[in-house]
Amino acid sequence: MFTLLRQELYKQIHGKFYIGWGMIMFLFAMLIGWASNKYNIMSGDVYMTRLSNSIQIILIAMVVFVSTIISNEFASGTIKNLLSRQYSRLQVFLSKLITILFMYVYLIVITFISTYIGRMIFFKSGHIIWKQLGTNLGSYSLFLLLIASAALLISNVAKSGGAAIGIGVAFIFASQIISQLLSILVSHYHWLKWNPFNFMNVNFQLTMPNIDKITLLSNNQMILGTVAYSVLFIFIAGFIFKKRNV
Amino acid sequence: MNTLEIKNLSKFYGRTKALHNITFDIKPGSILGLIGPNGAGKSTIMKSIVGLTNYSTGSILVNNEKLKKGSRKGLKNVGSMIETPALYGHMTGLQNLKLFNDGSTSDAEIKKIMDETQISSFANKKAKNYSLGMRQRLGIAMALLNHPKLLILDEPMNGLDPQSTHDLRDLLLKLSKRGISILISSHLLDELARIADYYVVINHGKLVKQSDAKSFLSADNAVIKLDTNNNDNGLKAIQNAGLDAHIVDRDIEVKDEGNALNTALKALVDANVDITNVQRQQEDLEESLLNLLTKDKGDK
Repeated sequence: MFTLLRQELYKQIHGKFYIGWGMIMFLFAMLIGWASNKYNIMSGDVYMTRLSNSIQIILIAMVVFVSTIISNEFASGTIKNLLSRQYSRLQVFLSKLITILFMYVYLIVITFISTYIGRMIFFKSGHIIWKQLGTNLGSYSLFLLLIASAALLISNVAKSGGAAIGIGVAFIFASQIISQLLSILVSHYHWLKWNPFNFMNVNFQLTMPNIDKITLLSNNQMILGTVAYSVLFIFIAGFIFKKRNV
Repeated sequence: MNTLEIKNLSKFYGRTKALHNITFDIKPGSILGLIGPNGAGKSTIMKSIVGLTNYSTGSILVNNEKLKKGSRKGLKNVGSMIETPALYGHMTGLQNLKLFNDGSTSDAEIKKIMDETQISSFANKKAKNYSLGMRQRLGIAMALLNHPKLLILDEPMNGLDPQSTHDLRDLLLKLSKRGISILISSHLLDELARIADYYVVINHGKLVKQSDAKSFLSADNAVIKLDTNNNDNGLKAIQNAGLDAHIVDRDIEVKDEGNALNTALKALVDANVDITNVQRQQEDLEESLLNLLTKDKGDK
């Protein structure tokens, strides 16, 4: 398992993703910091606790990453090298999941450092409201978990990395529209509150008041449901991965 | 102990049976040529061994370890290149090699593999810029990592120029002398004929024939070609001596079995027919395979 993980990280280190998206996160944080200060868009505290609004960029980066981490291996045939050895398919799949987690932590760390530098430069302060930052980060991480696991599931059946990215990114926008449309129906048919799209409001519900009146779910239900759907999506993705012929 | 043992291997795609009770084995240090037409099931057998596709029934033992779901220990010492070599284009050849080194191959050993497969000159270039021949060589180098006892090579000579093909042939013979068993498929039958110790012929997912290389070629189809000053009289004399003979392309062709050559020559001398040319011809692998496949088709 350690060998598989080392190999996944080796591939990332020799790829462009981490450096490219790391630079994008840094530049975006600087741009937002500069604009927020110049045009008074948000205070330094909000800039910091919202991680310079870079979470949306992380979301896109992670969907791209998740969509391609398996589909590219199938598209280029390199999956043969991974699966024709002594490791089980489950181990290979787990190594991919852990690499996804590493990449997420990496992007969060880069974003945090970039935002902190932006706060120091543009707002002349290093003050951080840790509790609010933690809440924002936690809620967005749950949202990302749900979106990323759905993207992983979709990409597992895609034939090419490009198609997987397209479907994954389209899914982000489509799911938010479907979520809003379904929220209208939820008020009429209460059982619909358990549909997976309702859980895509998890970040709003945990950071903004009165969203529970739309979703009809408590915060705990929202968190548990989000995790449960994510685990289900990952489980199905793993099942497909295990059964797929090369 | 055999390096590879395949017993009654069958594979279904839906209701279609792609492999029918395939059974064969490979002894340590021997080279087994897996031959057959396109779509016969050669790659499916190879993929089943390395776990790229699930087989339906039967068993596969590699290095005395039974391969089954959840137990793939036997594959630890198996190097493979199935179909086209799969490389990470954004990485160099050397990085591709290092990526799949599980830690058991030292840098010196990697260098030796690079020299043997002749990839050192381009190992520091990105793999996406490689020609097919370069990709093939790197794919073979990757298969040689981690001290394999069994090499599975699917069409490894594709895209190689004559010199590289010759070098690969030498390398495979050298590896087999070191005790590495090799399962190889190739449509370049002349090349295969120069290295294989055994053949397994697959057609329509069925094992049509398996034998050692010598008996595979000499079994039924060796002939003696004779040219004389009077082939009509010569043919009659040879046939009267009880031999199976015909005129083919103006020569007398006699089936080469037992003491046929001596008998034919004596018959011609006794009949006062002058012999101008004698040639012994053995069927090559391609002809043997074609005859075998034609016979297999006729049997159906």
